[in-house]
Amino acid sequence: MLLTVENLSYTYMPGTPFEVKALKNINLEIPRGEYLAIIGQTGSGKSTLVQHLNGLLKPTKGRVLLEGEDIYQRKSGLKDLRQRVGLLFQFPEQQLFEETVFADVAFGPKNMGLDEAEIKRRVEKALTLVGLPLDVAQRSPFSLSGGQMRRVAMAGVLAMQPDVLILDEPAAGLDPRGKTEIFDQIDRLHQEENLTVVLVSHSMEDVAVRAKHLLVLGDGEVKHYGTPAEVFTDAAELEQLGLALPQMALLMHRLRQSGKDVPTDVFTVAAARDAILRMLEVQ
Amino acid sequence: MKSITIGQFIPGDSLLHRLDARAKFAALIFLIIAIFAVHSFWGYLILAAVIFALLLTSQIPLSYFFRGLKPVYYIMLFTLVIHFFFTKGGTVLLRLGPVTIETEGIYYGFFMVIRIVFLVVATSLLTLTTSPIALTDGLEYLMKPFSRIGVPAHEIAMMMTIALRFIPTLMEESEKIMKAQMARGADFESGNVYQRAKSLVPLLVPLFVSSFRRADDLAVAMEARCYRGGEGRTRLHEPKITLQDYLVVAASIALAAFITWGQV
Repeated sequence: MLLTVENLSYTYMPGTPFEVKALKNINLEIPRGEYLAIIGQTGSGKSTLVQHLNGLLKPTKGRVLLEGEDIYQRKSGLKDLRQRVGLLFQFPEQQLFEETVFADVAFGPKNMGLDEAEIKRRVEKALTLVGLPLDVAQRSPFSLSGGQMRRVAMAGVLAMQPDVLILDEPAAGLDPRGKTEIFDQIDRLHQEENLTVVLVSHSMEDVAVRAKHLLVLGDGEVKHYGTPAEVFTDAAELEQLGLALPQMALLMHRLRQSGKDVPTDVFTVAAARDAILRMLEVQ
Repeated sequence: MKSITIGQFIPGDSLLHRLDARAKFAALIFLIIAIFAVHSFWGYLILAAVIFALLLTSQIPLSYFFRGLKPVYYIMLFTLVIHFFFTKGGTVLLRLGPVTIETEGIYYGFFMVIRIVFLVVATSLLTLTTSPIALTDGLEYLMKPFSRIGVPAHEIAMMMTIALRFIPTLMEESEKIMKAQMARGADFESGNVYQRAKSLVPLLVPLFVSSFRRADDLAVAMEARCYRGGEGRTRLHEPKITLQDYLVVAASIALAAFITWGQV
């Protein structure tokens, strides 16, 4: 098991009037090659949970294991952990600071103590992976568009060549096209680079087609865990948690309720069309 | 960073909370005059009684005042050490080669430290019992007479309001950026002074960038609502001065006068 979360609880500002129990007894396993989506409403604890995975927050109770070892007891330390578990925050374009795109992407590899040649190789590979032309490397990151800046930030994490890539709302604030592009890129990284992906989102629509497993958080607790099809069987409860089913899954649920024989694990318009046509043929 | 209590307001309903901000401001100024005019430890005893009574009326846990003192610990220590070694007079208590510690030094060292403690506690009494909005509103009123000689009273008050409003936002943001850079292997905690200063660049640049963007957005938002400075601007809540306020200011004047001319 690549990452294991055991009985994890986290409390913000314990012992003060502002105390908030953000996470309550979370258990989770992330095997190599996983594509996990963590879903929940704002304030459900998603971002708090992923910050535990690379040691930015220390659990109040419970522990996090990387390949079976407690992340705070590994000999190679937290820096090595953060290299292996890459975390891209929400609106990551806000973290850019260097004079050139190249220098910014090189920040992570440089902190790892790699030599110049290796840094150059990694930066170029990372920029290619996120789909940026290499001639932006010498430009200032602040002269790029918002979507491009976000890619540069993503390249900054990829250049460290992590085993796991955690992305916190990677599509927040992007237009529909930018959104599709960034998700397609993540899919490609998952398939071609064999990267383990953890995606944090509040939108079922965005992740249902892509993720292998869904973890639904509500009020700091795990409400559901399973494949998208498994999780979506309980539409009513998901709505109670403030989460909407993907439109097509909702359509299939309604058809089912009215006695039609259709599958419910359908998330795209194309798949829905096929399913309905098949149903009509059978009739 | 969490120990910063400047501008931290603890809501409540004590006599001090209900007083008008201008009255509290004026009273604080006279209290500060009294603190500076004290000549002897007897005078400090009187002031200590007054300040302690005020602390009790404020109904604010004493721990908040101690927390307010934390940032000045080093200044206090520095003052103490400087006086010990460089203020001469009285009998010599200790002689280490050319360095001597004399009674006057000890006396003035403690005298100054008590003065700092009183100043900090007295000012935090004002900030802890007055909301930042009421505070800047009060300041604006008090500065109004000076606008004749070109002091932009309203603008200064508005700048303070905005600054106070953005302190928590900036703290939150710097924490977020710090974490983002730590996720890329940045190290803010180890190394010598030069390395540490250098390691702040990845934090400060994004912070500046976003502050400028925020300032720009705020300016546009204010203009969109027709903000054009203090001229002809009316307010939603007109503060009212009551008898209580006059009494408190009068009492503070009396205290300052007694300490100053009574030579205590």
